[in-house]
Amino acid sequence: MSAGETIRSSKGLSKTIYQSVWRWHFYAGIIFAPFLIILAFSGAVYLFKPQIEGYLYKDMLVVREVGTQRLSPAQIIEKVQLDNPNLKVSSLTLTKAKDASYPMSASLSGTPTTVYVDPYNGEVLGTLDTANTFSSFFKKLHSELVVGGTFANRLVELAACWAIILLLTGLYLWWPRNRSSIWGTVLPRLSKPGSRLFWRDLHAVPAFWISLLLIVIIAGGLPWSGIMGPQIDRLANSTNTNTPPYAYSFGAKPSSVTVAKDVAEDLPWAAENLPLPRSAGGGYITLSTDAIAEIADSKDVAKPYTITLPQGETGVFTVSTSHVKPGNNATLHLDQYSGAVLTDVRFADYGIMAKAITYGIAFHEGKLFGLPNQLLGLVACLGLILTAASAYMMWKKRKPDGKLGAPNKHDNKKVAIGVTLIMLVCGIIMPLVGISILIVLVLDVLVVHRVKPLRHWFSV
Amino acid sequence: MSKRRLFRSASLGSFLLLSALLFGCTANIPETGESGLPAHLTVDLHLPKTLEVGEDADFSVEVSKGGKPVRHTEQAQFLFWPEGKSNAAVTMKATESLPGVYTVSHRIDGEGIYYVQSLIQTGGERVLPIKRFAVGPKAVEELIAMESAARSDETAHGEHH
Repeated sequence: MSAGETIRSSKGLSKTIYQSVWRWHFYAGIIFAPFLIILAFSGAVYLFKPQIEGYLYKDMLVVREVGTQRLSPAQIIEKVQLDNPNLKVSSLTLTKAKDASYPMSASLSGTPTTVYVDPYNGEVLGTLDTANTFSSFFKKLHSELVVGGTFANRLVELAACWAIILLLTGLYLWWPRNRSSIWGTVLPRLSKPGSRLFWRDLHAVPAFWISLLLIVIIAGGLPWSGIMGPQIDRLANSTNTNTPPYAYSFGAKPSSVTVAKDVAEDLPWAAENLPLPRSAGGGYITLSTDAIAEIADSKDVAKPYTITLPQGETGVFTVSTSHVKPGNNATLHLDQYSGAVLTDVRFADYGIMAKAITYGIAFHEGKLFGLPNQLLGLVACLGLILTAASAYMMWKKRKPDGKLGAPNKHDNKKVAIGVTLIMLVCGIIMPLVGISILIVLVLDVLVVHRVKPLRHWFSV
Repeated sequence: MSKRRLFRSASLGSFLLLSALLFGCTANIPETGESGLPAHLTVDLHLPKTLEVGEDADFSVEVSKGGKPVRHTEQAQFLFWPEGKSNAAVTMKATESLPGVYTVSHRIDGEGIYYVQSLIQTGGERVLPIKRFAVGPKAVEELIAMESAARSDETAHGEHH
C-alpha cells in the first residue's frame, strides 16, 4: 500500500468511526433529551431551595422576636406536644442563628409534618406537610419524574448515565480534526442566525464548555441512584474507603445496651395477686433531650444538629449534624437510658471515597461554596437545555420527510462492532446503559431489520 | 551511589509514600466488642432491695468499659428527688466501694415516688442513668401504674432532671 493509499484509508476509517459515533450520539440524544431537559429544569430550581424557601416560608423559618434565652429542647417538645395533642414529635433540630426557628419532624395524625417552633417561647410558627413543600415537588421531579416509584427512578438514572455517554461521544464529534480555528470549537459562529452552522455551534460549543462541569455534577448524583449507588457503595467498602458503620442518621442504628427490664420482672407481685411490698424499684427511664443536647455540646458537635428520639424500648437517641458544607459532619448514637455514646462518626473518620462522595453531593446540590456553586450549577442546567434545544433545531433542519433523519449507516462492520463493544464496556460500568443497549440491539435485529418501512425510517 | 541502589531507595521511598497515602485514605473504623460496637461506657444502677422511711439504704452503680471496671472516675455523684420536684434534687458524692462500683448511702424521709440518677464522668465521657422507686404501699401502686403506662407508650419520656 502506498503512502497516499494509507492516508486515504486512515481518513476513510476515521470518517467511518465518526459516522458510527454520530449515530449513537443521535439516537441517545433523541431518546433522552426530553428527560435531561426535565432534570436540568428541576435541578436548576432545586439549586435555589434555600433562597426560594427562605422567601416562601419566611414566617416559619424566622422568629418574630429574638428573646433573651431559648427554652430547653425538652421544654420545647413538651410544650408543643401539650398544645398539639395529635402531634407526635420524632426529631428536633437545634439551629445556630439567633433568629432561626427550630424545625421538628413530627407525625400529625399520621401525616409526616415539619413543625417550626419559636425556641424562645415554644409557640408553633407553622407546619408544612413534608411531602408537599415547594422544594419536595422539584426534588420528586428531579429524582422520580413526579410519578414516583422504582421505574421512574431507574429512568432518571438511565438518562443520567446516557448523558455521560452523550457528553463523551459529543466531545469526540466536537474534537477539532481538520481546523485549528477557535471559531466553531471554543467560540460559536453566530453571524448567520438560523443557519445549520449557527445551531451546530450553539450545540457543540456550549456543550464543550459545560461538559466537564456536567460530568462532575452527574457523578455527584450517581451515589444516590438505585443501581449504580449500591455498586459505588460496594467498591468503597471493598477498598475500605467508605464511611465507618453508623455514619448516618438514616439507615441501620445500634440498640441501646442498658437493659430496660420488664415491669413484671421487677414487680412480680403485679401479676400474681401477692400483697404489695412496702417499697419497690422501677426500671430505667428514657433520658431527656436536654441531657442528650448537653452531651452533644460536650462532644463538640457543631450546630445546627438534629436530635432524633429513640423508637421503642431498645432504640437510641441520634445526634446528627445538618451543616450545609461537608467537613463538620458528625453522627452520634446514644443509649437512651444512660446517655453513653455508642458510636461517634465524624467526617475525619470517613474513607477517601466517602469524603469524595460527600463533596460530590454537596457540589451537586450547590452547597459546597455558596452562591458561586449555585450559579455554576445553574449555568450547567441552562447550558444543557440550550444544547438540547439547539440539537433539536439542527435535527429539524436536516430531517427529510418520511425518515427519522438519523446519520447514515456505514458498511464497515468491524467499526460498527468495535464502537458497539466500547458502548457495551460503558454498559458494564453503568448496568442500566448495558441493559438498554442489549434491548435496542435485540429490537434492531428482530424488528427494525425485518420491517421494510422501519428499515427505511431508521436508515439501516 | 550506584544506579541499582538509587533505584532501590526510590522504590522503597515510593512504597512508603504510597502506604502512607493509602493509610490516610481508608476509613477510621474502631475495634468493636461483643456487641458489635466500639468500646463504650456500660452502667448498671442498683436500687436497695427494700427501703424504709427514715432508714439509710445503699444505692450503687456499676460502671464498665469493654467489660473492664472503670476505676477512679473524675465525677461520681447521685441525685435524688421526689416525683414532680426535680428542682429540689439532693446531690451526693459517691465513693468507689469496689472496683468500678460507686455507692452512696441515702435516707428517704417520707413515703412517695422518688427518682435517683447517677452522674459518672470519666475520660471525656459521661453517663447519667435514672431509675425511679417507690416507698409506701400507695406509692408502689402508683409506680406499677406508671411503669405499665411507660411500657405501653414506647416513646414516652419520663420525668427528667
